[in-house]
Amino acid sequence: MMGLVARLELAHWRRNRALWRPLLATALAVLAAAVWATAEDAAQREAHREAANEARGQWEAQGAKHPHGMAHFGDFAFRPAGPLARLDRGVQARLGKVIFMEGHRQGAPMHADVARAGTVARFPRPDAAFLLHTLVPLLLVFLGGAGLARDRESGRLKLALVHGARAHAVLGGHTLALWGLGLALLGLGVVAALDTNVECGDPAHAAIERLPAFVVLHALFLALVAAGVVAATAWLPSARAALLTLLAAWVLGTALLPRAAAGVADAWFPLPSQDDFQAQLRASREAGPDGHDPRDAFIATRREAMLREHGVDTVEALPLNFDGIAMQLDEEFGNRVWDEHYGALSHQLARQVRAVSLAALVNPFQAIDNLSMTLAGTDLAHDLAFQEQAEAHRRELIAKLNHEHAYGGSRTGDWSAEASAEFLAALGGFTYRVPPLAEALRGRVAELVALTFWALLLLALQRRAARRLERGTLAC
Amino acid sequence: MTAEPMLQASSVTRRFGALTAVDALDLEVRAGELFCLLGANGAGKTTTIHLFLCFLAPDAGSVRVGGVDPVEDPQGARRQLAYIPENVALYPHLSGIESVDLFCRMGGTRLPPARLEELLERSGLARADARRRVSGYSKGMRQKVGLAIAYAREAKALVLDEPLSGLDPEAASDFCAELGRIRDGGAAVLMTTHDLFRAKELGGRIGIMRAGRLVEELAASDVDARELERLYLHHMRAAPGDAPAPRATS
Repeated sequence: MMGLVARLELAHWRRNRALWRPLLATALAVLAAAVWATAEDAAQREAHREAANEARGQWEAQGAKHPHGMAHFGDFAFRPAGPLARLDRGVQARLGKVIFMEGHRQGAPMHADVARAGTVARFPRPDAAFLLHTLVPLLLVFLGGAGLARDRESGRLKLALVHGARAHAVLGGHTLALWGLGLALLGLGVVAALDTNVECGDPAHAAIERLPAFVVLHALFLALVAAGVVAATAWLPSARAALLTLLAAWVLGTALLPRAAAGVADAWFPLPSQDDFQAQLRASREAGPDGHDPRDAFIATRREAMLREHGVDTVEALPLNFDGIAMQLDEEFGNRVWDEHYGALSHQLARQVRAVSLAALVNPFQAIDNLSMTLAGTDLAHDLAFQEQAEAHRRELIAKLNHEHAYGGSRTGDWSAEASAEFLAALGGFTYRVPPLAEALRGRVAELVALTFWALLLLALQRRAARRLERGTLAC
Repeated sequence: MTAEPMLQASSVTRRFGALTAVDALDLEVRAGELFCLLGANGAGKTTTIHLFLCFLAPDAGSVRVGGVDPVEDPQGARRQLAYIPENVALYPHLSGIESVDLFCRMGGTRLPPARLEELLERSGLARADARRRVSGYSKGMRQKVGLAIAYAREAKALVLDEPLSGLDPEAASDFCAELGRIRDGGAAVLMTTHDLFRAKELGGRIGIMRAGRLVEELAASDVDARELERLYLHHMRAAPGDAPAPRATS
């Protein structure tokens, strides 16, 4: 019975040519966004691969070199976009994908897409997920807002109910038709973004794990939209009232509430300006030791302690290179400063993200947007994970270079001693590891609860509308 | 008449805000009986129909369909009913046969195509028309599809809401002849109409509603068409609380 009603609705859409244009336009938009993003992703992956190979080649081409010279030569951390980023670019366009890692300072991501965008481009290019979260629901509102209302206003609903049709099956059939259309558009986007040529790296592997979750959660969201559209049409007295209400809900959910949530989160948990942040960072850093300054008091204290420990009078008499120790002391103090300042910044960012997550409880559009970004690995949490991994790699790299500097056989003051080319080549490059799915979703519990809550609420509303339609307490 | 009432309204009142659409209505239609409900627009005829169809619940009194209270068991009541509205709204892309099949399947029954054709033929729709899309049907043809749907349900009661309005005289005559056959088959038929002539012609009983009340109830055989018109106009023009219209002696 439900399938029968759904087929009738699909047949109506098929026969009504006026509906073809918005349908085809939406399908083409989803397809174009996915195909474009796939092509762009392939080009970007190639560019990253080339850049990473070049950076590695330059590192290895240095041959034997002074360890601290290599600490300043530095290396690059590249964040490859996972295949699902073709479906949802998230906030990636605004964030850098490359970090320069060197001694003495924590690097910040650079080369964000928006930095290359024209100044007239206010919004980033829409991706398939954006269209699935906004345009597809709008299409379902226009199609579904008319479906049940058409049956009601023509008298077909009354005729069907008298002749044995169950109202829940009628409402369910309309929901099924809308959901089927949404799923077809979702499938179109996903299939268009599939690339059999993905390399077997970690992000590609993670995508295999995340794609089913991406599809299931989007299917749940589209079911929720379809159920909401039909429930509103059943409860409201006319097609016009239903359409206006649904449009108002769409504008609220897709435009006003997300902006309000971001604004409130920013007001409640403000971030320091870039200038203030850098000034505070500099001030804290300058209060600590400077490994390049032999007169630095902190370094001098450590030097005296080491001379006593080894029973010698001069650093030159030490069986190690104290300059390497001083560099590591400098580095460790710097790490504490970065941990303090970047940690506070991350903490504040996390509070903003949590506030926006909570706003998703009242806005399923926000919920799917956040979940989609998380599953695609393009949200802020994944960016912070990339920064943390890159920083951990940098610290390990610099610590190894400083250790080689201190214990590699040279003596203090010898700035010509070189680490072997083999030693330097053995220091591996950075590889981004996508956080496990469970860990990524741990920060999105509010969104998962929101989607489940809204799905259950709309289902309950639809069942109640069906009971009332059958008992005549709701106009049919 | 000894048969049990199939459609029964006992002291039924239904209000919409300050408006009393049906006021203490008592009405019975027994199996094998045809009852025509006359009245001006807004008299409460459609509200009465909707009370029997379970699309409205009474504010006072009770409604029974084959002994079942539609408020308590709407599905049980509807199982015994078939309904033909003023405009039988069908899916335009389906043929007559497909339309009857659709409504049967919605009600949980599947009939073989030969049986569907037979039902449409019985309702007076030509075999060739039954295979055409209903978007090209006249109102009379759609009413015949409505009749076929009613036949398919083998309902004990048929409720019709102004099915004759807009039909040409020949279509109306055919339709009424079919209603007569349904009544003769043992079904209870309740029909609202503005057509006094057809109400008289169909026989059975006639009720006149005014401001939600059944102000006159008579056997069609007791009056001729002119007398029925006089009675009708008297009730439509009378102020509330006026004395009943005196019957003319023939």
